[in-house]
Amino acid sequence: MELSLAWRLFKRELSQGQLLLIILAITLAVLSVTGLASVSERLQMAINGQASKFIAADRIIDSPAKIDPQILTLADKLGLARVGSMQFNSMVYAGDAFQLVTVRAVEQGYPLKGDIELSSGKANGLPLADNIWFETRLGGLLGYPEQIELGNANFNLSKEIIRLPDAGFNPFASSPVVLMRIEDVAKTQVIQPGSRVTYRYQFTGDTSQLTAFEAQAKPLLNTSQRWVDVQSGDSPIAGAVKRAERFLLLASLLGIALACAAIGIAAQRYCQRHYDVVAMLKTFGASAKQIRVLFGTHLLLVTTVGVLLGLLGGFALDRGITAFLPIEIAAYTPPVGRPIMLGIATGFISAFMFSAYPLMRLLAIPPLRVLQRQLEGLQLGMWLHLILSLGAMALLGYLYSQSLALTLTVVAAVLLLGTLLSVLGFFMIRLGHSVGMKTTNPLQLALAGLRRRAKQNAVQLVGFSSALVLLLTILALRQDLLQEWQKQLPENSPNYFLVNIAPEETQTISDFLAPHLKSSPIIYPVVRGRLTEINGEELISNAQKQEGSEGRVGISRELNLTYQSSLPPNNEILEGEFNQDTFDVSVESGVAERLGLSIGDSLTYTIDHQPLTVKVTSIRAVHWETLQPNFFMIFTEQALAPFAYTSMSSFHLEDSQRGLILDLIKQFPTVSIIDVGAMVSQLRQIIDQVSLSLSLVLVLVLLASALVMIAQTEAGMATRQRELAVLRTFGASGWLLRAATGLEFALLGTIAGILAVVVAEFTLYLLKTQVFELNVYMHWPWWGIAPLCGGLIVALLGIWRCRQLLNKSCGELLKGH
Amino acid sequence: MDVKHGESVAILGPSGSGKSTLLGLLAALDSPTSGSIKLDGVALEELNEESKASLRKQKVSFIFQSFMLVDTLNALENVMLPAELAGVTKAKEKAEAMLERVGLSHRLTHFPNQLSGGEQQRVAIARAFICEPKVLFADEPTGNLDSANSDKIADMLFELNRESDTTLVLVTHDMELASRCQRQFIMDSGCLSEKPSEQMSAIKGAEEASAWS
Repeated sequence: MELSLAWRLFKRELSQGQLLLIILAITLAVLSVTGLASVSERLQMAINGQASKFIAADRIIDSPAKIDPQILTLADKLGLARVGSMQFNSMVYAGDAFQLVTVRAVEQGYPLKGDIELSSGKANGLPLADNIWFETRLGGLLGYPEQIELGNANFNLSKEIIRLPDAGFNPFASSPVVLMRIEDVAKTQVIQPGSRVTYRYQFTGDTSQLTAFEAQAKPLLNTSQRWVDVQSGDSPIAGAVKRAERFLLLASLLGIALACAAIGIAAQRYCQRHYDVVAMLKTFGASAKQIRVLFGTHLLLVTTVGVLLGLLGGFALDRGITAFLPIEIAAYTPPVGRPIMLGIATGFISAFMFSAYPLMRLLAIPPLRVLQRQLEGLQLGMWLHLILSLGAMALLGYLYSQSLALTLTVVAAVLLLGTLLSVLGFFMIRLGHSVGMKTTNPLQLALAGLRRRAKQNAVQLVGFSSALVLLLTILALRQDLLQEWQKQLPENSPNYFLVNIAPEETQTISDFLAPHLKSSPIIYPVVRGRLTEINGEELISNAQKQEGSEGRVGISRELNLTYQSSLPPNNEILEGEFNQDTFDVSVESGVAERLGLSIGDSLTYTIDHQPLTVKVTSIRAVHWETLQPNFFMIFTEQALAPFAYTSMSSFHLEDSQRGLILDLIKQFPTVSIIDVGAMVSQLRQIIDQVSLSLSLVLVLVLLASALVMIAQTEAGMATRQRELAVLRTFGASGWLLRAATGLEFALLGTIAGILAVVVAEFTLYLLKTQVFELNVYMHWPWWGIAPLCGGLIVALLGIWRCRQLLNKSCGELLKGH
Repeated sequence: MDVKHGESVAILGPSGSGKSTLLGLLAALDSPTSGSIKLDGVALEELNEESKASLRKQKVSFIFQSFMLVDTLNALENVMLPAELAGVTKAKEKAEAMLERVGLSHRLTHFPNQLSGGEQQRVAIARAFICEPKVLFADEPTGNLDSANSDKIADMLFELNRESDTTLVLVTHDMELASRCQRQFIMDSGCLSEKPSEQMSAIKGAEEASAWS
């Protein structure tokens, strides 16, 4: 019976438009969660997909020896595609000429992702047996021979490689690369016991396979083996991706919080509307259980409709956004399960937890209300409402973001807003205790109205201010992140690197480039050296440490050392002063931390079998993502003067200037040119995509705020009508009432604006310090703009919402419900 | 105060005299802080909220000054409501019959805001009688109506009351309506006294104030 009654009530209220607000609020929450989750999942897939082309796979294991076959069996069992390869250095000979090369010997199937770019276009397959593909400059270095000798075997030099997909970005890989089949390695007899070889195993698969693989394979690796994925920080993209991902999450999270606020307000309104019905049902003998079932079912129906509409809307949103994305991204189809589950969970959790308190009050309505209309039953503790609402928000936030820091930040912001509002509400009630309506002028009337509705206003402020907080936070963060990215990748980021510049060529190259570039390129001399001692104490290797040796673990490879007379761009001194004396050295902060270095420590390098001892006088932060040549250690020219060096540089060329590169190759055949333009454009594309999705999130947030505001004014309409009726009856002019109503809303909006700035600054502080690692600063213009805009927008919205009431005649007002 | 089965009783009194409080207590909507009320042999003060609700469902019905119809349900659905709560079978047929009885068979699917005040109160009367209550409590049933409609509603109320042998307790300050009841009580500042019938001397007055038990 209760069910059919619930259904009937639902049907009727739906067709009469009474459930519109609460359904809309639920729909919006579900829509934004589902839509954004699908979009961000799609973006994530695309970003990872593109980034994984840089490693030519989804996951890589690098190892100095062949890995445990168990791991490969595991990969096969999980259905991953895999390909193995070897990398080692060796000399190749062509007649009298010889050159050190980096040999990549790969299995059939390479590359799993991306393409090998040859001078003749994209490669189809691998070199044939007894053939080698070679990097263009090897040809120049050896005088374009037809055959070369590698170890005990001869190979045909068949095709020129422009780029390998997993060549990585290492401008110091000074020896040219050759590519061959792994089966051909044996006959060269180059690999002997003790040879330095890197075995690389590349894997691809879907997310679940990769996750399972990671969980099971990682523990089997030893310390000399390295696990690489797109996000392991090697790629310059990883940082940008991670931040973008977190931002998208945060924006949606705040969007959800706002939609929840709308649901909370709508639910309160929904319950108030049913007070009389419950009193009447109780009078006619409905049991508590009957009423619980009735309204539980009713709310369930309302929520179901909201959730279904939201899922449809989310689907449409995803489609809509996808239509605007470039085909490379749109082509990815992420699984729909998670967004749908998230949407459903959001709808039901928010609808029921936010309605719980109003619903409890509704169920507690005494039947006597039929005779005494002012009765509202139990005043349950507000703390219960607070706990339930915050609980719902935190639960949803965590479900969605899986990030405790983000969730807690949002909860902290909500708490601060709540506290400020209660303090304000308290003062408005206490201080504004004056008698009468003060109908002399509109401002007096507006102030009186604010005081009279102090409690209700405190609730209204929740909506106005949280919408504003959200907007400010998102706007500021979006701006900061975009700026940060722009800073990393300014319009003319270097797209070419020159390495292996001989000392005598330095000046000529500089002169050659200068007329074509906006600023003359910085040339960095590079000296290779190994760090051997810190404060006179010899460093040990990782392997020695494991065998039980005592001592500090050093860096196991040779480092690229440079000298500069002044601090290069994109470097920032954190401690100390940049090189003043001959034997000063400036150390990058990450390395300093890893080696436990501080100012005043002395470091001994071995360069060309000779020791060089220097003192750490500064520690630098380096923006590694900037695509500029960056160095762990910067010396003075005098200190490195005795050692042999080559130089490197980077510069930016427009597409129209590409011809210059050909001239450069002709004039300086031994200099290696690395084209990173493709990589830069990919980075830019990713940033553009993320910016697009951020704008879309903003639109959704705006929609949610509008809904909250409408929900708020709706709630106060009935009392406002009664008041207007009385004022009208006693002769207040239309102008006075309109001005007073406008002013009342304007004041409310201004207060909301001030509150919003306080909370937004606090939220931004938390976010920037705890989540995004951005610089914290105050947004002073906001302190003027936000209250002003708040006042204006809320006043307009308020007058618009009340326009019908304000235009009504006295009689209509008195009659109306 | 003692009301017998099938009697009609009016409680008269000025505003604020406590009429509605008394009605709330008699109808098991409220609980007395002291004293005792028996409804059909059941001591109300001993019942908890749930038992009171169940008692109301089985034995009591109401008519209110402000009609108290559910805005979002149409006339037929409003009348069906108590029957459905009580689990009565064929609630719809019964409701249709009741609405026909009050002359609204042509208004079944109209919503309260589409009905006049008099029509709304007729719907409320139909709703009040659908469960054949033992006692009907009416709180100023004609208070919101003009005199022509008041008379019609009163006629209908007393007619149905007679037909269904229901006990009627009516709170009003309309002397004419009160005079149509078999007995009249006067409430004044919380004190209740029975007004002697017109045949009895008017001199006896209201001093026979008696507390009820």
